[in-house]
Amino acid sequence: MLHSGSDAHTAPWLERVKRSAQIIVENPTHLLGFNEPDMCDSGAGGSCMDVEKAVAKWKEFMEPAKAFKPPMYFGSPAVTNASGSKQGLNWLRAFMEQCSDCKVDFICIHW
Amino acid sequence: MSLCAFSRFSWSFHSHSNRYDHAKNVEYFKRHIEETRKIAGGRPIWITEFHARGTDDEVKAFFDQVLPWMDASNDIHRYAYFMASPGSLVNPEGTDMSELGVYYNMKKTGNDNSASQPMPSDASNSAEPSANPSKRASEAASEKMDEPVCRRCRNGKCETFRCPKPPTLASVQDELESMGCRFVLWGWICDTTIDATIDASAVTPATKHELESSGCRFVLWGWICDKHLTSDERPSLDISAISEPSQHELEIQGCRFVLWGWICDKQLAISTSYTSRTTQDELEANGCRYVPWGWICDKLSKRELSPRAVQFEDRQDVSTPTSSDIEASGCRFTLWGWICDKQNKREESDILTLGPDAVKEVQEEKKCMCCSNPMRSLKCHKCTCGGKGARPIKAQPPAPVAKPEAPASVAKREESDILALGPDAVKEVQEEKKCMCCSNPMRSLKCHKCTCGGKGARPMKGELDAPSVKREEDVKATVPAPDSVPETEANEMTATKRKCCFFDWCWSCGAAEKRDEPATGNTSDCRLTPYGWVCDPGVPPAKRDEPAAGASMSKQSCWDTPTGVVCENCRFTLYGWVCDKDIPYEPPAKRDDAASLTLDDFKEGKPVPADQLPAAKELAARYKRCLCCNTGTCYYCKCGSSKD
Repeated sequence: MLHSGSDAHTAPWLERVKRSAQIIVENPTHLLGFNEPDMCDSGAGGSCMDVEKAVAKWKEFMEPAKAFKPPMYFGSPAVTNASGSKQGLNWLRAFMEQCSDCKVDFICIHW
Repeated sequence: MSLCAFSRFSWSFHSHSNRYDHAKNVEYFKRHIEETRKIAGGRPIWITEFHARGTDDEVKAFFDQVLPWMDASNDIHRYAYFMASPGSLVNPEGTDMSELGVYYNMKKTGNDNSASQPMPSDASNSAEPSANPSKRASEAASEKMDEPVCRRCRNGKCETFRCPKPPTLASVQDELESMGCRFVLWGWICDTTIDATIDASAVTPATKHELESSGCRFVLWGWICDKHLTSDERPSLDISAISEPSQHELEIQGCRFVLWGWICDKQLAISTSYTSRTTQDELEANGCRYVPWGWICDKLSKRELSPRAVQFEDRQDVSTPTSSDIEASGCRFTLWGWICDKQNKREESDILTLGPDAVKEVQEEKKCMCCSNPMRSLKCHKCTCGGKGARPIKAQPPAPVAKPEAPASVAKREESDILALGPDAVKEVQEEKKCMCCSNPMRSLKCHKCTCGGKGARPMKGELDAPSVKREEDVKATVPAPDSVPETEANEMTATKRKCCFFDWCWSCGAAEKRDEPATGNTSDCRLTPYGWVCDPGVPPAKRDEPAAGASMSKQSCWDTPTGVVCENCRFTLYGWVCDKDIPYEPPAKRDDAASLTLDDFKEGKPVPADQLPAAKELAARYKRCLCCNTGTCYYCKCGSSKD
């Protein structure tokens, strides 16, 4: 999982994905997007990103991993079940709309 | 999989969070997933964390309701209760599962083999969904790509072993096909031969029920094979149960009989070789089941029904594709059934992959689908109606009874259509390094040369081999309409002889026009097209080419399949494998020897008993192993180790 868009998480990401994906190259690799980007409470573990930032980071750090091998599947950012207009499924819906050309193979949610 | 680690931060917080809803609020949980489905658009859903507040008993009751509900769904692929930590699924001491953990584990796996489940203490450093207990054992098995442990059972004894390294998708596909399997888009598969009065090709709600109560079920897609399993593994087959009339009837309705086959509910992520019988358990765990025999049919809308078939109402079962749907998917009807593009390399975003419901949704929205049709897959997505390549997805009115459809689609092709011009024309495009642009209207696929790189352009290479013998129809398609053909040219066409093959016997057979036009009334309604024979219903089997008595026969380069020897006059086309001849099935007894040998029998230096020699040769050829023979005695040997 790419936990968030912060440099500490993104900097080693693609290199590590590449290395891991080659361990058993025929097996599918599943990558998960961000953890609770709609959660901004301090210390709550959420990656606290607005949709625009998440889309940009997704395109920068998730999409390139497609090239590593064919069986590579991406899970959407995992959102909470909060119901605010910029939270939860609303956040996810906006992400899917704005990232409509992104490779999102399955949907991750929390409840 | 080891890449996706849930955040430690997230975990430590959540156990104190009160935003999780109460265990009594099952409806909210389900509603939340229903809402998610609207966003998912058919994609699989992973509930990578869920948690319910409440007492242990309340949470257990919550499990009782939501776990089976999730397990029964098609789109919830994984879930993980939050979380595997002391005080939740793990006991406060951190030494074992808590009572709740044991309950969750048992409830969700449906088995008591707790040793095979990861211990909660493992979960903290391999914190990813597949390592967490999730879903039914059967589905978990299909997903544990990172645990290559396979199980094989023989005579009631089971053992585990390290799974063989998974072959690539393409190699499995090739191997399946080389073994006489084919991929079907839609079809009915039955445990037993079905009553001849049931017309599997024109299924209405009434006959659907009848089929289902006859041990048949409808499958979305799957591989159907003629793969042989030995009799101690599976019940032996009673071919005599199939009466001639019903067999013929079904065949002309687009069905074919399979001796043995695996049929699956879903397209599988291929993790092991399906050609080994040791994967039987795994296939079953993946929602596949073995049918000792059965008819596999592609659904048709309205073809002429045989006199014995019942009359059907003019309405369609929207849950299943019509023949025009199938045709638009790159399939076409031939004498021996529907042949289709390979369907392996689908992507999640592909409407066809999402199944009939997704297609139905497009219909209801009155949208159109645009489909590309590259060599190895057909991909569709929603698009604006009226645009290039767009086609309405709606239930087509059934074609008039008794009006054959295949000729219509052939007739509609235009001279400028590359495909109609046949493999040679396609080859020409290949050699010119041009591209083809193809539209895919409901009833035919039309292609023309176009600039490479443009939308819809695809390079023509590889798959579409020119036939070894130029076919009559190829010639015909490149010349003007018959009535304007100069007489000399027409004579030349008539004089063109074809090669016909039956197993490994090939002979010179009559010119194609023998079949091209039904002379009068009841002779033959088949004709040779660039892509194979297409026939109307009612062609008696006797009309099929058989080696004429005394015909000169020559052996051609052939290859082996479980059903027999296929000669060069089968070839892969844009639409699948087409052959000049039906490939009939063989009784299993004839192949017992071959099937009883496995690669394990190949031990260098080990002599080959004379009665096993043909089977050993067959395996050697298939797996590129060698036999050394010396004055009639053979033994397994290293390739190149001997001149024998």
